[in-house]
Amino acid sequence: MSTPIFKKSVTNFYLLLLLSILSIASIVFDKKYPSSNNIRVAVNDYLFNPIQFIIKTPSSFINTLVMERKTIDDMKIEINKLKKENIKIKANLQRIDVLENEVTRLRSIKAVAIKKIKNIKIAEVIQRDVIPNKKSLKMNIGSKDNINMGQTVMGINGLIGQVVEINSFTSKVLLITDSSSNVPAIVARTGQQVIVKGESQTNMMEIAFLKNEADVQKGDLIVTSGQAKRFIPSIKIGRVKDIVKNEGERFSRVTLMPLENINDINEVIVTSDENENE
Amino acid sequence: MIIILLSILLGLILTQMFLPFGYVAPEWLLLINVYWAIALPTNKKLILAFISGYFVDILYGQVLGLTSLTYVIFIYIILRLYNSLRYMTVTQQMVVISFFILIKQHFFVWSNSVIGINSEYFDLMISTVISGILWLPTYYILRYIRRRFQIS
Repeated sequence: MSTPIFKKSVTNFYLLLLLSILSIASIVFDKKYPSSNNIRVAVNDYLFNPIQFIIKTPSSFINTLVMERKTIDDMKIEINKLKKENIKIKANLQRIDVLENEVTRLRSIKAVAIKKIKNIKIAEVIQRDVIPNKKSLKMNIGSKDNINMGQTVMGINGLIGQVVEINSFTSKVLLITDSSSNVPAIVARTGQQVIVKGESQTNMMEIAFLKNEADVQKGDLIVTSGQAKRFIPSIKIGRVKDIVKNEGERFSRVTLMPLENINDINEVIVTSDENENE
Repeated sequence: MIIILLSILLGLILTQMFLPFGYVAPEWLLLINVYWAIALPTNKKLILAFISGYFVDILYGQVLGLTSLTYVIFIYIILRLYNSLRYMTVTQQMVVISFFILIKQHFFVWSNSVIGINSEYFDLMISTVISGILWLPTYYILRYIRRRFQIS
């Protein structure tokens, strides 16, 4: 009460000045040095993941209740189904091996045959749309599982995206259907190199800057090329759904349908073609 | 003080729940901060605003410090004006606060563009309207909490 009013407002102002300078310093620091990521990781691990857990608990409780009701018969049917599928896949795999040899011979690739995928980790999807206005998802493995920035994330049918943010126990994935995502790819039939760009609104992708005279047909398979060393090579991305050739313009508009059901997937595979210790 | 921190935590939970909506989501933490700044205008509210802005930055994956800068300036203005705000009815407060949020969003867009990031202008404008309307429930709920626990 005894303090004069103007003095109070002055300390107020100094605090404002101090905090503003702190904010601006933080912005500059964050822009210049990547080590500020540690702050994000710490706060995410100790504050937001528990909150996440609190939010998820009711729905996951109901889910477990539903799961409990699954009887053993259901499981048996599923096992039988999986066995059949496994045999089918194995049979197909033999043919693929032969085909692979043929392709390497035909294309006469010199030394580097296609590397086998070595480092496979299976993760669960916790949450979707975790980055504002970007197609993204959060999965339940993080830096404790030796995840690296930019690792390829795929499903059993095809490519899903890449790792963009890593915390200790969770990490975020940018999907290939986001408009800021560009994937270097090739048309499997002709070997032509293209860039696959996402389309956020329609959950599809398009081939960016494909010339009108390029040889692309409806139903062509597009796979990753492994250029730029971001995505591992020869992973299916999608099939050509629609081609619109604009005579007046230089580039035609090619829409791709992703092979993986990106919006409903629950388990993803995080891979790289490097060994674990690297 | 514990009640205030708990309300901030509630704001964090709400922010995380509304994360899938992107920038259309209302600014829960800002509204809670504004309420406490009007109810108990002390200098600590600036520090509180700074910390909650930092959390929002981390949650949204933005550049660290951007939202905290806007929040601190916002709460400073509220601290200067709390006397006149207290004389208004809640609806009048709603109009004034949505106008302030509008200015804050423009400041946010501007500071984003200085760094070189494009922001979704239209989404932010929708967020302004929603936040303004949500001032009413925020005010009444937090006033009930304040009177219940007799914070002063």
